[in-house]
Amino acid sequence: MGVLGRAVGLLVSGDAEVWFITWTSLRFSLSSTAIACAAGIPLGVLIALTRFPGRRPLLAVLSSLMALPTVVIGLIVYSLISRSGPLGRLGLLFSPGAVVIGQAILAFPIVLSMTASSLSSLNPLLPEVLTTLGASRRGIFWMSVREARGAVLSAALASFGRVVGEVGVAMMVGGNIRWYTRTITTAIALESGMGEFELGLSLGIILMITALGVNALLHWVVRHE
Amino acid sequence: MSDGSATPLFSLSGVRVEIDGHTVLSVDSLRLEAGKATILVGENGSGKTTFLRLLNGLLAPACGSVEYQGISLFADGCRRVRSETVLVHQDPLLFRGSVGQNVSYGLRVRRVPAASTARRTAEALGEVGLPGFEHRRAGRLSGGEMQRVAVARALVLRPKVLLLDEPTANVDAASRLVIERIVRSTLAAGGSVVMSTHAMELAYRLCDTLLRLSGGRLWPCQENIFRGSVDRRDEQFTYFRAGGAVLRCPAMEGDFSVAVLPVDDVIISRAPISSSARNQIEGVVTRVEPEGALLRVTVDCGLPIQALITRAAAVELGMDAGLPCMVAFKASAVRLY
Repeated sequence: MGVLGRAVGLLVSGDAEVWFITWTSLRFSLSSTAIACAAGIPLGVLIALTRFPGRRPLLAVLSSLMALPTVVIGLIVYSLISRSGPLGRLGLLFSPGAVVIGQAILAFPIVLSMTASSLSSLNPLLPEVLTTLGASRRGIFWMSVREARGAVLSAALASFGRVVGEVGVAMMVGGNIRWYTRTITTAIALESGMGEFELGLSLGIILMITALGVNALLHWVVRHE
Repeated sequence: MSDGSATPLFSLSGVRVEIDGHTVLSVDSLRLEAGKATILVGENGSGKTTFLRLLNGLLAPACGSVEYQGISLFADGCRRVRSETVLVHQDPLLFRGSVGQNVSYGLRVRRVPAASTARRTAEALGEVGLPGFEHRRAGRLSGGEMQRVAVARALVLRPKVLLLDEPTANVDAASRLVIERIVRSTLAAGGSVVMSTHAMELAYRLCDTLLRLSGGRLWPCQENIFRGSVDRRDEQFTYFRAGGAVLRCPAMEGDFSVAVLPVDDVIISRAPISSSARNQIEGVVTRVEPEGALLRVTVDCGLPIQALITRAAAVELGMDAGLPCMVAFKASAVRLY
């Protein structure tokens, strides 16, 4: 049986470590995406619906942050939560919380920038039409998100896709600890380095299926909007 | 524009609206009466939409005061004006979802019970001639249907004042008739309508007050607008009865309710004149007002007829209130609607 066969065997046999790593990856990615959406969507709406000095430069900066290397974010978070860092006392380093925080920082500019961009393309009359019909500020917010829901969902899916496949943050601040903070990507990096291709390949298959699933969902959302 | 002492629906004084540092609307003084149709006409960019947005409290003037039923709009009156007036934009802008979701939006934000919301939504759609459209996708309607849904979305709120911005632009003839019927039914129910339009025929038919906007300023109306009906016809003329006068108009078939006579087509003389003018009516000058380099003279001929004359002509005629005179105009100067 070749390496690929053994990798598939690991998947179908329900190997506990494979599925724990998968679950850990999904848990971290979903949590960080949720946090990024909770902060990024309202801020994106705010930026899209209000006019203030420096709005355009801010959007340009946010767009460029979307391409920030994951290791740079890992380094920044590491310097903040390491024992000598300003948040060292929280004891977050090499914990699931650290990975989620780092990945949320990675996802945040994606959600915010894509939300702001999608809402900016809505008809500028929308807030006024809603106002004349009696909507409150909160009503305008929700209707704006509703009107751009396809694009906002795309932003969430895109950020999920980015964090589920990243390795820099998870490795630097999660520490790749077995049965604790080891994710699909960090496990692949480790196992490949050790010459253990079966586990790496089986995790790679899961990652690819996840990525393809997210992509398919993204296309479906875009097509149906 | 009224001199009535009753509290006006809207009262504007010294209003100037600026956008990006440019004055886009300037109104020295204006009163709009309740229960009337005020129609705004003027070319694109003349300030019609700005005027309507101002009345709806959607933008604040740089200076001056806007009152709604005697309450300053930008102090305490904004909430009231928002609850009692609705603006229907020229761009109907329907939300994603069904027609029913669109029409019921305002009721849902007001937390009207679901049963009542459904009933009122169906009623509003019936009023605009789209009964049973609740479950249609809003994005799949024609332009005219979209505009009618936008009107239904406003009507469902039962506003006291309906503000309509070019509701007949880019819509079919059937939708135009529906809009006209809705304006009339709103007025019949005691409501008020302020509407902008390029459709002069519609403006003449509907207006109680016609406001002409140009370059962001209000200009005096350049037409006499007479309401009445066709009295009789012969081979040469249609005789239109308005007030206590009968006007000779071009021979036309149709059921007309409005006659329009441009003020600069009216001649005033002390005695009957021999001319091609087929209308010569006796009257008494009731008002003489300056209008730029000219004078606007109002003559009571059984109905008030306005004319523009030069100051030299006024001196020669001894123009003053109470002066008996003759008003003359050609039958072909009168347009019937």
